[in-house]
Amino acid sequence: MAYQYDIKDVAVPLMGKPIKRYEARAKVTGEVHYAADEPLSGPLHAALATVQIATGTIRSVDTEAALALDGVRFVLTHDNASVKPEMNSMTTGGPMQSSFYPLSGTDVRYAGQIVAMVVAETLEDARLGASLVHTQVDAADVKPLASMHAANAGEPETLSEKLYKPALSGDIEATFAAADATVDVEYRTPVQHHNPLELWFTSAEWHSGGLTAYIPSQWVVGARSALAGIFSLPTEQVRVVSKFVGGAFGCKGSVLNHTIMVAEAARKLGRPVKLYLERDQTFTAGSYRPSSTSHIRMAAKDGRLTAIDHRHIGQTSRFDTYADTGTEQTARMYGYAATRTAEQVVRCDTNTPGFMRAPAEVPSVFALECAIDELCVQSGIDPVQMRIDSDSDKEPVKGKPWTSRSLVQCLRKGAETFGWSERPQKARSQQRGDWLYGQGMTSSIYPTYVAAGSAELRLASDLSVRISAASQDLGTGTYTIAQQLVAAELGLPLQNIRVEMGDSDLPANGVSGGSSGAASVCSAVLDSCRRVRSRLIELAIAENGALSGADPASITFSDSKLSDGKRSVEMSKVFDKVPFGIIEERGTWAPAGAKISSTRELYRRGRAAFGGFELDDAIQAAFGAQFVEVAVHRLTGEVRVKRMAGAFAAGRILNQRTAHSQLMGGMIWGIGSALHEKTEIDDRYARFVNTDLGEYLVTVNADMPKVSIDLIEEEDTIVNPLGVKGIGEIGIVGTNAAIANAVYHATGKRLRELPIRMEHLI
Amino acid sequence: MNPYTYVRANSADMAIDEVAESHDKNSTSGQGAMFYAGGTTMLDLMKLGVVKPSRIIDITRIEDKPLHGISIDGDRLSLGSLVTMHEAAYHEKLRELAPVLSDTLLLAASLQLRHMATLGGNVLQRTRCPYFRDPSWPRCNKRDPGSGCDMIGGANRLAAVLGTSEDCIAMYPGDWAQALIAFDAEVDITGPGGKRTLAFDELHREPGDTPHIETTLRPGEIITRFHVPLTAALKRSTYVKARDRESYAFANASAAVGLELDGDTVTDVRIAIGGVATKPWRAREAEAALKGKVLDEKSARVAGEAAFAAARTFEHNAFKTTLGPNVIVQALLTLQRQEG
Repeated sequence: MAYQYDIKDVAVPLMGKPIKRYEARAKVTGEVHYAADEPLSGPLHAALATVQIATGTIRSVDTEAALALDGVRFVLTHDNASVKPEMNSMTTGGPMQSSFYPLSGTDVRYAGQIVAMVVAETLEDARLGASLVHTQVDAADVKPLASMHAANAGEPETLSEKLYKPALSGDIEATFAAADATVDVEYRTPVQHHNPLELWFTSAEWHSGGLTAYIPSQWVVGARSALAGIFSLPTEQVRVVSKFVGGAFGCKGSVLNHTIMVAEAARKLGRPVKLYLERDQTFTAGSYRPSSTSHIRMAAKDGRLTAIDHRHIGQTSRFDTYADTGTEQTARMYGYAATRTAEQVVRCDTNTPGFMRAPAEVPSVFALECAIDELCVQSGIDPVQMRIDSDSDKEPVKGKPWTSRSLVQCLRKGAETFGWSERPQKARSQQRGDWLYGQGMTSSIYPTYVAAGSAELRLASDLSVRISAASQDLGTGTYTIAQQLVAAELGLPLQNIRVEMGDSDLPANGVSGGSSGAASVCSAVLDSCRRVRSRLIELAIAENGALSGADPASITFSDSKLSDGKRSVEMSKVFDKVPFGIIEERGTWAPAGAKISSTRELYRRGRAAFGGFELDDAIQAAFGAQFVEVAVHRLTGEVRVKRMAGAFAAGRILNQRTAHSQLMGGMIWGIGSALHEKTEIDDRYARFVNTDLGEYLVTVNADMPKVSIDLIEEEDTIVNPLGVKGIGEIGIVGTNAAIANAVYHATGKRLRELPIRMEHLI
Repeated sequence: MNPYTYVRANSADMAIDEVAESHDKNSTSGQGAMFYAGGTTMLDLMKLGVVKPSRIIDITRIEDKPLHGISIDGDRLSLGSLVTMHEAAYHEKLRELAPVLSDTLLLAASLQLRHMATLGGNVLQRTRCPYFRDPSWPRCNKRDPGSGCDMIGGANRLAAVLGTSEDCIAMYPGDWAQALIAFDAEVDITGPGGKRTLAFDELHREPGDTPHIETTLRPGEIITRFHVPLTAALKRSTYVKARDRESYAFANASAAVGLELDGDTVTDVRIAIGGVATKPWRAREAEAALKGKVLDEKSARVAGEAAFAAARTFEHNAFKTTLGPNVIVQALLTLQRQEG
């Protein structure tokens, strides 16, 4: 069996207290600095010019009119760019979002591609200048393709075995033949964009040959290594700062092209340069959720799921192979007798898509959980019951045991909170006035990923503490849980603990992504606490110490004291022989089985070093169950979510308040995933159309019902020393399916393409 | 955004004079001088590079009385053009005597926008057609006369189905105008040629082959006041707006409806529809189909369908000819259930 941690003595209980956010007051009083708030001395302002032809060759970029403006200092184009970076994209494990740098030559590969950056004394001058850049493009002869669902889309290509290992277990055709219910259906999801309120931003400042960049980032260490590599600087000559982030959701995890441009311009001009992207530019300057098609066949026998045959197709760019391989999860959700999966992509003339909250799970679990609902309707079995009866303590593809799995508990608790037992089985059987009511549900899964982390803890004799780590708080609560963990481990008041994060000068950590942040950085924080505790114990039990002679294992920490059960001593009294009265310890943690050299690559090359989902002899994931009630207007087809209940088990919950917010936020975004969000595409031009917040519809407050969350206590001794699984993404997994299933239950209409809109229901 | 000169006018006369000083004041897409009130559409369009005024005349500080306040003058309700959407939406007399005039405002935009936007500007709101709002699309006859229409054959789910032409299918996005046109509002105008009054019905134009000319306002004219006759149907009125999310979204189809009943027999009915036409749209065919009839779901549907008899649909908006009649049905039945 995999490495076992003794998680019982972690000072934060399995259900951590709902303490308030570390930065709550600073945030609501406007005191915190987001990247764009960081003060710079005499900065220049930049604006981007883009080209709106999808494929072709640049003939010329005319910057004369822009340069003629009084305030314009510089226009960066492919003609004068001196930085031609080697681009290690995230699709090959690197820190860049894409392998294509638009200023590297004259290729036009997607609409919205950056062709120039204008730098000026004022933002107004920069933007006016950008509007005056005139680009001539010789359009390619072949019609560009922007969507895998367009009429001119080509055949999908199957991912190589290096990128994806298909599941194949059991006798799939025999299992289908023996089934008493089967479905064979196609589900589709659209392109969606993150649209965080905080736009992409970069400011860069050079000093004594070094570079400081302020970037809203999910990974300051990765961004630092990218910039150090591109500008041929020693790693420690680059500093990337991202103290607070105004919404990330995956789109701020890798370095984008404009960051390189800003750094180059700042170096050339010898002044700080700052650049905000405009909302429409964020649709093509970085990541987004690609559209998908799932061909899914499923079988059930005697009320139990027996087979899954799931082929998922996503879309990617011409130059990067980005793939959301969610069939890894759908093939393992239940204890099927037979599995078969395939992952394919269609290449389009678009910017490279990328991670967006639960990237793999949102499209594939949608298909899975709707297909199961179809099976339940066909066989007359309650959807909760079928899922409970299909549970298994081993994943079905290779037969590995789950490190812990509480899906059944989630299903039962969620059903109870929601009142599922009152739901009539028959569809279209609950009309109230002009509204048709229905209830639907889903299971949720999110793999447990972990990465190496490090942290530094400084404890002074006045019992003030600084815990620092180059992790990032995306608004999720990372500051808070670090503070909470240190306070609990050292037995000190919360207010004694200062937390520093979001700065690459601090001890290295991985990306705050893949729901791995809390588990990874807090495992290192825990290690630093344990090292400090050892030092304190040594001091206390030393000869002439207040607890001299005590068994080290008997010492506990609480109320700012050390105690051996009989005697106790104020922590502040053990520092007499400590230089400066300061104890400093560095904690590190790497997933069991990870090579230490992988942490070097993380630091130097920005290579994400994830452990998990599958271990050698086990498999690890968080689970949940979600229940939704919708009302559909019989005349207008408007769909309104009336209430939602979710139950989740994700190992130790460090802080119930921040966990609740994460899960609720995920479920609410699931409403958008099901009903609102779609990036419209004009196939003629291969362009995104609704590139603003007026027309790209995100769920608004009025669309949000009451959401209840149950947290299921779960102990996992394998995932990491804390037993934490991560809760950043699971809240959105399957919500779209629960809503689609509820819409079916309300109306009797099975809709297999998102978003579900009124035109599908009238 | 292009550089421009900002001028603040204290009176309507001063505003009109300021515009007259500009050389090129004939273009509604505005390369010359433009009036500026709440700015909730215009500032957007300036930032987007769709309108590029060289001079903007801020009219929000005009002190002339007619542009301010809400009053009842005899049998008419009267509203100044500088009244904000917020002020009008929560006005007690509106809620009591003309609920549709309040509903249409409350279901529009967001709280922040309603505090900025004025009634005069509201009725002149420009289309949300994405091909109009982003000059990087090559074809838009409204933005660039003669260039063509990218909405035809493009992402036209939100396009109009009524009042379209070969040159433009952009939808008029406003809500309040539907209430005005349904209830025979009039609009007072002042300009270089003096004062005049128009039926609200005559303010907006169908696109035809000149979609860049959206209204019958003459260069330099300002809307000063709106008048709405008080009727029984106005008192029993409502607005139904079907949209993709619960708030802060434009209508996929909407209906401003007023009803006067004798028992269940319709003695007066007013219907205007939004989200489906190129201008504020009075559905007189629907009204005619109902007048004198017994109101029930069936007759309501006949009326609703009459409103869309002339509809022309495009690749992605055919649903509007089903949704539109349904919205009319919903509004009529809702009013029937209310006490008269």
